[in-house]
Amino acid sequence: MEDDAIVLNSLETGESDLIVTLFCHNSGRISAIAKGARNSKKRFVNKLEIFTRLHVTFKQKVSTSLAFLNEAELNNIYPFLRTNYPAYLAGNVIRELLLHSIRDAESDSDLFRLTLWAFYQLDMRMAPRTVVALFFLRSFDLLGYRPELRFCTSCGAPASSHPVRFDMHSGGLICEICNGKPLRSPLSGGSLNMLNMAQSMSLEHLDRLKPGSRVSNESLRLLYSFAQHILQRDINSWSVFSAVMFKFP
Amino acid sequence: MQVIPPALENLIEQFSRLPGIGNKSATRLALNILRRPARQAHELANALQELHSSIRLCSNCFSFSETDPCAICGDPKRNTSVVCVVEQSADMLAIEKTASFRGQYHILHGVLAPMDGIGPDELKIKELLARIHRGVIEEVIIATSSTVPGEATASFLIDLLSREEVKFTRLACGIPMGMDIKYADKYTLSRALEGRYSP
Ligand SMILES: [Zn+2]
Ligand SMILES: [Zn+2]
Repeated sequence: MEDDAIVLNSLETGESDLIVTLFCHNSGRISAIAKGARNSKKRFVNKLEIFTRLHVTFKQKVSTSLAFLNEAELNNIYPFLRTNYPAYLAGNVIRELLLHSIRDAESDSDLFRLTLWAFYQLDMRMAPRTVVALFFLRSFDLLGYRPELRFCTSCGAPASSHPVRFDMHSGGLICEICNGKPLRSPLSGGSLNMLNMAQSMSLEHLDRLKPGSRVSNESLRLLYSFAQHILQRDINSWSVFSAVMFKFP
Repeated sequence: MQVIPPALENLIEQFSRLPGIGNKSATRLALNILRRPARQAHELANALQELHSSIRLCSNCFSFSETDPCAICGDPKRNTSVVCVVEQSADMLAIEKTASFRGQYHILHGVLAPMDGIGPDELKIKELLARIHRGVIEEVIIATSSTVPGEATASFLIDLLSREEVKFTRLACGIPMGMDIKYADKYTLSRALEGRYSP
C-alpha cells in the first residue's frame, strides 16, 4: 500500500529497528516497523523522525497489527519546528492530541489536512499559541465534538445578549441568566469573536486570523480544558508548552 | 500450575525492563545465566550492586564517574575554557574516541521531550549556566544530536546562551563521509551548503 503520512511517534526497538506511528491520509493511524532504520547505511536514515511528512509504502499483515514499512520518501521536515523551541512545543501538543484521539486504520482525510495545515503554519512562523488554539478548535469539530459558540446551550439566547462562559459538560456556552449567579470572569468578546470566525472560515483562509496574545491565551485555556474533558486525560506536553506561552504574553 | 520457578521468573521480568529486550530475549538471558557456574552469577550480582554505590555524577560536568571531579575534569592538561555540551554520557565517549577534542564536557542527561514531561528544568541546564557564570568558560560547543528533539534542545540553548557573555558554536551538520551527494536528502544537502568552509 502507498500513502501520504505524518510521523507522530518513533520508538527504538531491537538492535536497529524503529516502530513508527504514522497518521496516513487514506489509512488513518498505523503502527509500522522499519527494519534496520537505525543502521546509517539503510534507506530510512533520518526520515522517520517526528513531524516529518512522508510518502510511504507499507505492507499490512492480517496476523499482526504492526505493518511492515518498505519505503519512505521525504516530503517535508518542517525545519522551523526543530529550530524554534515554542514551535517545537506546539508541534508536540498537536501530535499528542492526535495520538490520543485517532484510532487505528480509521481514515480521516479532513483531520489529516488540518494537521498538515498546522505543521505548515508553524513552519511559516505563525504564532504557536494561535496554531494550537485553531488546531484544537477545528479538530474538535472533526472528532465530533463541535463546541456550540453562538448560542447559550441551555436557553438558546444568542451569545451577544448576555455575558457567557464556556461549559465543558454541555460542550458550549452558558449565559449569565442560566448560570443563576453573576459570572466572575465571562468569556471576552474578543475571544468569542475569534472562535466564531475560526469555526466558520475555510481552512485555506484560517491563516488570516491574527488574534492578539490575550485572546489567544484565553481561547487556549478554554480549548485545552475542553480537550481534557473530551480525551478524559491530560496532554503531557501541555505543561511545558503552557509554561512558555503564559509566561511571555 | 507454576511452570517457571519464581526466582527465574523474577529475573526474566527484571531483564525485560531493559531497553530493546523483550520477553523472549529476557528468558534466553536468564536461562543462560542459570546454566553457567553459580560463581559467574555472583559476579554479575556484585557488579550490579556496586554500580550505584561506587558511581556518582561529577559535580562539574555531570558525567558518571567513580571520582569527583571525573578523570576529564580533573585532568590539568584539558582546556577548561571550551565546554562541549552533549545529551548523554555515551555521546561524550563517542567524541572522546575521536581524540580531537581537548576541552571539557557538560552532560545534559536527556533532551527536551515535552511528551515525556521533560522541560529545561529536568535537564542539567541551570548547572550549565552556573558553570558559565563562574567565568572560566569562553566557548560552548553545542553537540546535541541532529534529531528533532536534539535540534530543539540546541535551539533552546542557543537562545539562552545568546543572553550570556560567552561564545557558542553548534556542531556542523552535513554529508556523511563516503556518501554520494546524489543520495543526500535536500535538507541535509542545504545544511551542508550553509555550513561549507574554506579549506
Ligand atoms: Zn441561557
Ligand atoms: Zn567531570
